Order: sequence, then structure tokens, then C-alpha cells
Amino acid sequence: MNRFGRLRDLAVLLPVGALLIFLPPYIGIFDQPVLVLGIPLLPLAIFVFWLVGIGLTAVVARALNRADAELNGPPEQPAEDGWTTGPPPDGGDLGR
Amino acid sequence: MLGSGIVVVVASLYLAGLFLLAFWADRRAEKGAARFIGSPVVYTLSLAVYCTSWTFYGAVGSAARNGLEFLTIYLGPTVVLMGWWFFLRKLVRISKTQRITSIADFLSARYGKSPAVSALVTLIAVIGITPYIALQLKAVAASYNVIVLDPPAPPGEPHPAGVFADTGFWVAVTMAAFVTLFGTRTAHANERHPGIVTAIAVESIVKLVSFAAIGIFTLYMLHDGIRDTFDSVLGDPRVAHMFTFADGYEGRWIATLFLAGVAMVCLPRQFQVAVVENSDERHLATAAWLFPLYMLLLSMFVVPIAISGLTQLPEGTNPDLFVLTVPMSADQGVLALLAFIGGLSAATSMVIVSSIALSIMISNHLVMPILLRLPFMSESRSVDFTATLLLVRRLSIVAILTLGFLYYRLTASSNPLASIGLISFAGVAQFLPALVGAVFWRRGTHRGAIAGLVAGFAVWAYTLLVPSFADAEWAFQGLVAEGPWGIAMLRPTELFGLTGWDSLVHGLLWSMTANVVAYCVVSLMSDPSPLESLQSAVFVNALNPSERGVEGAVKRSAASRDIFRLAHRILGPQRAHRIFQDYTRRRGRIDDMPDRDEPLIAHVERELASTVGAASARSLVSRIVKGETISLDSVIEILDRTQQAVSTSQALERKSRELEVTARQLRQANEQLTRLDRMKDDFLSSVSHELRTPMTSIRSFAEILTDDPPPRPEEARRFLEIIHHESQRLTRLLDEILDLSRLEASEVNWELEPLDCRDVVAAAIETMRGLAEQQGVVLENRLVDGPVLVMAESDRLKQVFVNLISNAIKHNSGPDQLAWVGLAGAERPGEVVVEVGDNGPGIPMEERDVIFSKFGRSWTQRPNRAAGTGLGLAISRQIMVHMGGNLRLGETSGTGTVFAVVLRRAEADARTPTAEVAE
Repeated sequence: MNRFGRLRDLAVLLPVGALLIFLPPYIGIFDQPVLVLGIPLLPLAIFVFWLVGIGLTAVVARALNRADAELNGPPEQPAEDGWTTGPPPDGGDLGR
Repeated sequence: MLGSGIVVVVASLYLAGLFLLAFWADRRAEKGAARFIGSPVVYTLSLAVYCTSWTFYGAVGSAARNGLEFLTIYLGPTVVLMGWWFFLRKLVRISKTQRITSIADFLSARYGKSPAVSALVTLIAVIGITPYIALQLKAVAASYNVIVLDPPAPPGEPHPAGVFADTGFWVAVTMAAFVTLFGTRTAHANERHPGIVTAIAVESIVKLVSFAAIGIFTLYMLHDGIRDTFDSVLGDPRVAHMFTFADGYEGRWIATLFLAGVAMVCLPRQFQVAVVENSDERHLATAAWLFPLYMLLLSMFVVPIAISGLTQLPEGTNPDLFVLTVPMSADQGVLALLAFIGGLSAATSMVIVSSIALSIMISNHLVMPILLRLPFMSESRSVDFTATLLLVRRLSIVAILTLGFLYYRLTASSNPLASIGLISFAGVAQFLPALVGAVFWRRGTHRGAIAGLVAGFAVWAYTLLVPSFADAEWAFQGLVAEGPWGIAMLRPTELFGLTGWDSLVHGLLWSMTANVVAYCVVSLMSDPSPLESLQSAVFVNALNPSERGVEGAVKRSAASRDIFRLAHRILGPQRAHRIFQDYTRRRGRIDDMPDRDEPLIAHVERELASTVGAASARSLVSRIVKGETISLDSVIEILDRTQQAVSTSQALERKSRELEVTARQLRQANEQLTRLDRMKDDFLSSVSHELRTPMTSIRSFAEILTDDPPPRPEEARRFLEIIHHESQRLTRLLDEILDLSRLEASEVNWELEPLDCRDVVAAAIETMRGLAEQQGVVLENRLVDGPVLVMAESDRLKQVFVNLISNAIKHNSGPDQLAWVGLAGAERPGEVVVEVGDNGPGIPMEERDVIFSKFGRSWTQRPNRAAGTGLGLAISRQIMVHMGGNLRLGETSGTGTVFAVVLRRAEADARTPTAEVAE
């Protein structure tokens, strides 16, 4: 539960952090007339942050899915012609 | 330059291939064999419908014009997908349980299944998306013209030929055919389209591959690798703006980042592929990183292509078509053709999905509500509803594409690709406040949603759409230049005197402000209907597993015949039968409870909603149901469910504490029972022992009597006396055991009455006088004069005194043998204590605890074997307890023992102070 809670918070903080780094003024920090590996710094920085964000998202998403499956079982999939609302309103359990 | 014949043939073959692919995938899906469609990769690739020809051609154009701003179009969705866990997942979960068919349906379902909301959303979507579709047609037409005409038609020149010679027309016609074939084959549940999704996924791969091919070509053929590409243009003023931010970039940067993120969920086609077509919630976890990776790979090549275009092509070349013109200028015809196919893929996939999504919205939310009001549609059973629905959808698709084509023909020469796309984005961004409020804010009402949508849309049209018409020199030029009625303050691009702003940022700012303010203020001012409260609880708490089965709050009933007829008419006989079969099977398997009405109605309503949308489904169902009420109590109960959960857990805690206490008590009771059981065993063995001794002596004397020769007569007489005596003892013993067991079982029904204690004591002393004299013991009655009234039963009390006095006599051993009875001071008011004492040797320490238990003093230790049974004190104490008093051991020492009889004072005497009596 503790691990799951931490992952869930991470899943919320990750996009917030990514948004901040892609917004001015932070992104403006990298607007320098410098070449790194022959590439101007600004586009390189954006792509590197982007790639790191993708990597982190992948790691967190996989861990989160696994933790979620451990905690709640596989998500309910509606049958092809659907029976999706869980237990009927009279409280009976469909006993998935 | 390529021959138009080759281009047309290749493009036609490509599209025909897509047709076949879609056809094959649909077939496989029908057989349930198309498992690859349910894979997260296909889901991710279908999301890539986001990358339209605007990306394919426009991104390079945008980079060439505005530098790095094009990246925000991909960074926005990246951020939204990174937050899949708390937003997209919620949308998917809700859409699955509510059988949502489109974003209009989603908002309508949340805001009380309001037909007004869905109609409004549909209208805005159509108006916002039409230019976007036009943009795709324009892109294909322009790219075709570039690739087959040499020199390319100068930009700005309108369509050289008539409608039938216009490439855009043929693209529109092909797309209409494709979508009507594969997008509207069935009006099926969930609005999933496996054929279309497969085709879109393949098109996404084609887009990426062809764009990457152009990019790699420019990097490694036109230049010598990445480093060389940048080295060669270092300090070149034509490309310098691509590596740095222009002054004042912040406004547009933030605005486009925001719009792109919003478009990821608010664009009807994105909602369609991301939410409606989603077959498994877990796919989001893969798409969350795989789709951003797709966009990253695609945008990596944008800058190199733009560099090549800007530096190697003649000045004035349209940067929107660099993707084609760069390989063409290097005489790479095949590569150019590949680029053309990639652009065609981007355009067609967008047109296909958009027109499907819009056609579902138009048919479900604009046409059906009107059709269902017509008597011949709702009453007549001869009308095939499913066929009508499909026909409406097909007509909607044709109408949408016609509209897009007309827009394209009328505004063909104007705006660069990117700006039309952004205006569309800003249009659909008007859904955002209502959408976010739908899943996070319970207080949002349908009046608020309508107010926000209307206000936002109106300001959007005024500040963004009108100026774009004016730019196209199509209409409103005067209004944009001078403001309405010449009021400069109200000029669309400089509203309220905000000058110097980018028109997109300006329009977005005002429209979102109007939207959010109207939504929040009107929501707070209006009250939600019960159905809205219900739906808001379902939507906002969708990820909370405890919030389920809330439909129980709706109470309604209908004849199942009517329900079936409705399902039959709208969904067709096959599906109706299956739905009912499924329903009864599932219900029957769980329990045999008689079917209540509401679950069945809710089930059928959901099935209907998956075909005609929530609002229409509700209006259909409400015609046949009776007594539809949403009990306010139930709604409140649902809304307070969290509270309820808290109180339930508290109750559980309390219960568990109670159980602990009970368990402890049970343990104690068990210990006591074990002890009692042991005592019973001891008692039985004692009784056997006590009975055995007299029996043995009786038997042995009887044997002597029957011996041969018989004993002398005087001896025989003595033996008979002994036998008689022992029999008496046996009888007495048995009587006492019976007596005791009756007392212990509380089988006594004596009448307690007030009586004078002295009389009883005197009678007991008289009874025992003979024994006392026989033993040489002096009996003293020390009771004072005057009545001592107690509550007791006379015979039983006498029995107690007789027993005690007899003990006192028997245990006398001192030099002056004395036994006495007297009063003592009571410890509590309302009690009378009578003491019986002797001057015997006292009771040894180790026996004091056991004298009141049965056979407490063992037979052998008793000085006078014939004197008693060992039950006397036990019986006496039981008697006293039954009278509400007690019998306890007073002082005992080497010079005597005192027993205290505690009695209840009779009421009449209760006021007499005890001390007085004691004196």
C-alpha cells in the first residue's frame, strides 16, 4: 500500500514537473548560444528532457500497473456486449 | 517531378490497400480472432491520428517560420499522457461504465443526460473541426500539385480547374466512401471500429517511416551527419531563429502548449481513439510513454528538414511543403512519392476518424432527438431504427466532408496550415472547463456547462474565427479593422484595448476566461437536478471502487414487454434477444430473486445509450417507464457514502472491541465451568465414599446374621440396631444431598415472611437441649429482650440454627463446656447478624476455606463419626443465601469458634438502629 501510494503520487508529480520544465522561465534558461556535441543547446535540452520524461513515465507506469494489479486485481473489462456496472443495485455481487 | 499518372496510381493502390486491410481486420474481429487490435501498441498507434498533415507538412513550415514553437504541439500531449493515471484513466473508466459514444455524449451524460449539452457540444465541434478537415484536403491537394506540377503553382493562386479536377474533391469523395463503408457498418455497442483502428495504426507507421526517411535523407545525403548539418548553417541568419527563442515568445509558447495538451482529449477524434475505442484501461500505461516517444521521433527530423529547405531551396518556396520540395530538389522522385504517401496517410487518417466521431455526434445528438420526437419514428413498428440510424450517420459523413470541402474551396489561398489548426484547437478547447469540472467538480451543473460553452464559443468565434475570415478576405474585414459600429474597444483582435498581443493568445485568453467564469458562476448559482447529482457522484468518484451501484437510487418500473419492444425496435431483434438472454442468465446464475424493474431498465438504457447516446436513451426509456422518481434520500445517501464508510468502520471497531470483551468473559466462564466440573467430580467421589461406608457395615452385619450358625439372639439384636442406625444415616445423607441439589438448582419456592428471630432461635435451642445435656454442654441463649424481626422462612431458618448449634455442641472441648447464641452488630443497615459460638479447639487454618463446601471436612477427621454427613454447613449457607442473607465464619481460635448468620431485617423493623439492637 505504501509503495502503491508513493507511485501514485509520483504519477501525479511527474507531469507537473515536466510541465514546469517546459514552461518559461525555466525553459528559457537553456536559451544560450552554445553548441553541445555540435547541436545548439536549446533544442538539445528540450529533447533530452523530453526523452528523460518518457523514460520516467514508462518506469512509473509499469510499476503502477503492476502494483495496481496486485492491489485490486486486473481491471474490469466489460464483456463485448457489456455488463459493466458491477454489482446490480440490489447489492448482489456478480462474483467476478 | 513525377507523372500525375504514377502518383494517382500509387495513391490509389495505397488507399485500396487500406480498404482491404480494414475489411480484413473487421472480418477477423467479427470472428474474435483479431487479438492484435487489442494490443497496447495498436492503441498507441491509433492515438497517433493526432499527427495530421498539419504535423507532417505544417511542423516543418512552423519551424521554418516560428522556430521551436512547433515542439509545443507535441510537448502538450506528452504532459497530458504523463498524467494518464488521474485524468485519461478516469475518462476511460467512466466511458466504459456509462457506455459513452463521444465527447458530446460524455458531457451530456455527466450533466444530467441533457440533450441541450450534447447538441451544443456537437455544434461547436462541427464548426471547430470543419476548417481542420478543410486543412487536410488542402494539404493533400497542395502536395499533389507540388509533386506533379513543374514548376509548382505559385502559392496564393486558387484552384486552377473546376471541382472535378480538384484533388481535394477526390480525396473527400474517397474518404467519404471509406468512412461510410467501415465507420458505419454497424451501430454497435461501444462504437468500436476494429477495421478503422487497424487502418489508422498502419497509417501511423507509414507517416513515421516516410517522415523519418526524409529526415535521414537530409541528414546523411544532403549533409554529412547531424554535426555537419548544424555546423554548415552556424551563423546563417536564415536559420538562426530555429535555435533560440524570439523575444516575447512566452505568451504563444504557453498558449500553444496548453492548446495542444487540451486537444489531446477535447478533439472529438482524439476522444474517439483515446477513450471510446479503448478496449483495455491498461493500454494507457503503455501509450503514456510510447506515444510521446512516437511524437519525439517524428519531431526529431523537423529541424533538419527545415534547415535544408531554408538553406538549399530558392527563397520564397512554401515552407509548408519542404517535406516534398527538399527531396524533389535533389531529384529523389521515389522519396518524394514516399513523402506524399506519408502526408496522404496523415490527412486521410484524420479525416476518417474525425468524420466518424462527428457523424456519431451529429446523428446521436442533433438528428436522433428530432427524429425520435416524430410520431412515425417512435410509434410505428415498421420503421427499421438501426437502418435509419446508419443512414443518418452516412448522410452526416457526407455532409461533414462536403462542409469541409466547401470551406477549403472558399478559403483555399489563405492561412498557413498551422494557424488553422490552432484556431480549431482553441475551438474545441472550449470543452475543457466542462470536461474537467465533469470529473473533478461535483458542484458543476448543466446550466453552468451550457453557459460556459456558449460564452467561450461566442468569444472564440468573435476573437479567432472572425479575424481568420477577415484574413482570408472573405468577410468581416471592416469589423476586424474598425470594430463593431466603429467601437475600437471591441475590435475582435484587440478586445478591450489589449493591443500588441498575438491574436491566438488574445483569443484564447478571452474565450477561456469567459468560459471558466460563466461555467463556475452559473454552476454555483443553479441547483443540480437529482439525476445530475447522481451522475456527478458517478463521474467524480469513478475511480473509487466503493462508489458503485448508485443506480439503485432511481426507482422506476415498466412492463418488461415494453422494455423488450423498445430494445427490439432500436437495437434490432438480434441484439435485443442477446441483451435479454445475457441479463436473465447473469441474474439467474447469481440468485433467484424475482427481477426488480430498475436493474433491467438501467441495463437496457445503457445498451440504448451505447447506440443513440445517453440523452436520447433516457428520453426513449422515460416514455415507457412509470413512476420515475429519484429518491432524494437515496441520492443523499450516495453522496454521503464516504461519511457512511467512515461510520461503518467506526461501528466495526466498536463491534470488535465488544467481541474482545465477550471473548474474555467467555474465557472466564469457561474457567469457572471447568472448576465447577472438577468440583462435581470431587463431590461425586465424596458421595460415593460417604455412601459406601454405611453400606459396607450394613452388608457385613447382614452377612453375619445370615451366617450358619446364627449369632446369639442378643448379638443379633445389637447387629440389627446397628443396621437400622446405619440405614437411618444413609437416608439422612441422601435427603441432605437431595436437599442441597435442590437448593443449588434454586428449585425452592419458600415464602419469606417477617418473623421474630428469637422465636426461631429459642425453638432450635429447645430441640438441641437434649443433645446438649447428653454431652454435658451448657447452652446459653444470649438474645436480648424485644423482637428481632427478620425476613425468613421459619422451618428453614430453624434448620440452620439447629445445624450450627449441633456443631457447636459437638465441637466443645474446653473445661467449661459452653455453646451460645447471641446478636452481633451488623455491618450494613438492613441486616441482622446472629452468632453461634462454642469454646472448642477452633478450625485449623487449612480447613477454613473448605468448611462451607460439600464434604469439606473429611469423614475420617471427624471426632464423632456418626455425628453428621459433612453437608450441614454447605446446606445452611445455601439456605441463608436463598433468604437473601449469608452464613460466614466469624472468629475462630484455640478457645472457640463463632459462626455468623446474616439475615435481612424485616421492613417494619428497618428503622431500628442496629447498634441499639446489638446492645
